[in-house]
Amino acid sequence: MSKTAAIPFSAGALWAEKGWALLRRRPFFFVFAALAVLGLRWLFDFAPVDGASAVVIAVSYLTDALVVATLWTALDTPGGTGLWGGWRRLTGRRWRVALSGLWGLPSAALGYVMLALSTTLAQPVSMALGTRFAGWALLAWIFLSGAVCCLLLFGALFAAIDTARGETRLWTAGMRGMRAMVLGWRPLLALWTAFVCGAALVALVSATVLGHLGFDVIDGADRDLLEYWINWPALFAAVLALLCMIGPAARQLFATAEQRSLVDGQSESTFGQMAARRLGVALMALATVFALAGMFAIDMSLDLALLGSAGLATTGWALNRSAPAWGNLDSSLWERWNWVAAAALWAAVVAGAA
Amino acid sequence: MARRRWLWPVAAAVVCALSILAAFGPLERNRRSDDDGHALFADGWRIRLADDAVTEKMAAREYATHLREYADAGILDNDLYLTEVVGSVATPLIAAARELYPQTRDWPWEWHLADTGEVNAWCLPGGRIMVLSGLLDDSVLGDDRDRLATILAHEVAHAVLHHSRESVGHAWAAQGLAWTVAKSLKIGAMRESRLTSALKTALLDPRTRARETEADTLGLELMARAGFSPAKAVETWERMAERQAPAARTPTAQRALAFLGDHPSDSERLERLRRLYPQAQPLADSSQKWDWMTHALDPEQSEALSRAANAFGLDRLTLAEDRKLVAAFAAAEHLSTARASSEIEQAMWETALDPGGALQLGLSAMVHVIGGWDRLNRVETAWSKLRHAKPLLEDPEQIKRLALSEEDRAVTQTTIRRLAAYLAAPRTQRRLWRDAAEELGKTMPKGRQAILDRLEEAP
Repeated sequence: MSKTAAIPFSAGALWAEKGWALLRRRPFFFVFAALAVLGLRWLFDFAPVDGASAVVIAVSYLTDALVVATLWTALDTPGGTGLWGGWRRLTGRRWRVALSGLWGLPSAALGYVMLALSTTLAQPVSMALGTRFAGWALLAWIFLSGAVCCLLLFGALFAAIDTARGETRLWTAGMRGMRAMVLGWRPLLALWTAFVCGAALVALVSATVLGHLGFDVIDGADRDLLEYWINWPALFAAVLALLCMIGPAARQLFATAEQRSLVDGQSESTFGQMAARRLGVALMALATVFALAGMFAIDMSLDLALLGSAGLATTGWALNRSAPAWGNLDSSLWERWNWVAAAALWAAVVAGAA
Repeated sequence: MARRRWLWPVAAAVVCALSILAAFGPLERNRRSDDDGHALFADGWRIRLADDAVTEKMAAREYATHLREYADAGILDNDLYLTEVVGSVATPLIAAARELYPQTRDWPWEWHLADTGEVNAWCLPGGRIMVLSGLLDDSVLGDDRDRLATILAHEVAHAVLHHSRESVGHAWAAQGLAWTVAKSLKIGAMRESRLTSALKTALLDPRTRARETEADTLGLELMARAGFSPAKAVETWERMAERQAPAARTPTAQRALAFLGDHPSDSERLERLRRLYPQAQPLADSSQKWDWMTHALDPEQSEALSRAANAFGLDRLTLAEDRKLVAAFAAAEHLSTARASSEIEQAMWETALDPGGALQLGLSAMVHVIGGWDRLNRVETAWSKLRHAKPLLEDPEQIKRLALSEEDRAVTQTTIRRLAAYLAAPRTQRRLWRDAAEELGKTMPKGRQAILDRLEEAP
């Protein structure tokens, strides 16, 4: 196997085995950690559907970073310690750890864009290739959007772990986290697939249970309560599995990344440069798709589609141009992030036109 | 190699989940097994995640909510003429469905008309039919029974095939999956709803369109078995398609709408129905006589109806009281008022008793509301024994003197009220005039036009 290739799918099974062993050794520890994450997710349901919801989501990236860093620190302590012990050992690094959660924002942004575009993009596909094909294409797109979100989310969690390990610079922790994610994309994708299949199966069972519990058995507020809570056990199982496996996964991926740095000179800087360049190209490709969608999709005006396409292309071009700055530790903030200004400008123009 | 002990709990959970699905996601086939060889539709096996009782209860609640809402607004069954049109179509369709799908014989079949002006109709699980009045507007279906049968048969087909049961279960599953994924990926409520909607589009809509196709096919078969004209199905869906904006009728737009909408494109539907309706015609020709309105009355029924019409006073129905219309007709044809009245009355009696005619609908309602031929005969016999009897519609108080049981008397009183309201309804009068005008138009086209113009001016 090539030394530069991503690690194989089978690593996921190894992480699962190690995670299972950890869970058996310290069940309450993981259950409490999973309940803490679920508690934070529960807060989402109290946020109204507007800007406040976006703030709650953004904050959740920070809190998740703290939970995962606490868990890592507790597990990494010689002899092991509880969650409280892990939290105390993070003293002095908590703010930096929380900030590392900001690396989850690309996951939020990309997920939002990909989901928002889903039906719009599926429409021209249905016209060109038929509804059946479009149905499958849309399903694949949703799966892919979720996978991209999930992988980027793992990158943010790895960045939090790296900060908990002692990295002080936000940019380096983020690059290291993203690099670990790219190295482990195969097993991480396998985990995402397993999660989706499991969630689908549980959703089918939940629907069957709801569909067979007669109104004479449960009705009114009790039934509403059951409908609300019925999917939480599946989420609990998913979060529990994630927390059990994140430690073994991070350990292997960081070790592999460090080994690669020694062998072929790859570093966070070169990774950053490569990622910025490829994302820039991806945005330009998306601009083409958007323009085509505008020509064929009947619920979008052509002007708006072309404007959006031009915005995506300009942003992609700016990101591509900023790639050298992402590979240089001494670059200024403006040199790295000026492409965001291009995106914001176009977003304002599109919003004005709409 | 790792020992993969973690696989055991995962495998156990998967086996449990699949067992639950196999045990409770019943695979069912409902259609009567002894088909007569004319079936257009083969009922397939399918997975349903929701139980019949659960969806039935949900439907009962939803229907009750609608009924309450419409009754409070005073728009439930308030147009008696159109209500009888709906009833005259729903009744034979229900009979056909009960015959073909025996499990629906226990359903609490019910039908109503709500004067909301919206163009819609539905049939909820349990056979709860609702027609919204906009559908019967002259610009949509009018009061044509075959056209209404096309739409109602489609809706009844959805109900007998348990499509709600299927879609409710699948929607719950899609919602559950979207929820778990959204919560895991930290997607907020707004994006969760987007994800749910995208998942439903991808996973459920192709199935929804398949269900629509099934309902079209079974609907065609049901309407034919109920004695309606299957050829009218094509015309009806063409009329419905014409209601769309011209831009939405292009082939490209149709394909796009087919993906995002839950119905097949109009062109697909029309093509399929054009192909199928000749096969349905033999069913219509040999359909069972569930509805005497779509077939000839047998001599016994004809005699009973004639006597009952006399008892209730239907034979005294007249159009000549509307002086303005009579005068307009007389002036157009240069006739005396007396001659014009006579021509109009004759034309009315020639058309009103045709199948689907306004008076046929009234008589159908009478038999329906009174609860069948036996009670109708009892009432007529009791009335004929009265001394100095007047028609019941003229003097409803006579009902107290009839030798009838309390139940028969109560039902007859309801029938008299309903019949009187039906005959007095502006839509009934309008229909009688319109049909009479068409009949007169065969020999007196100017007179016909004068009546129609006058009707057009009337509010």
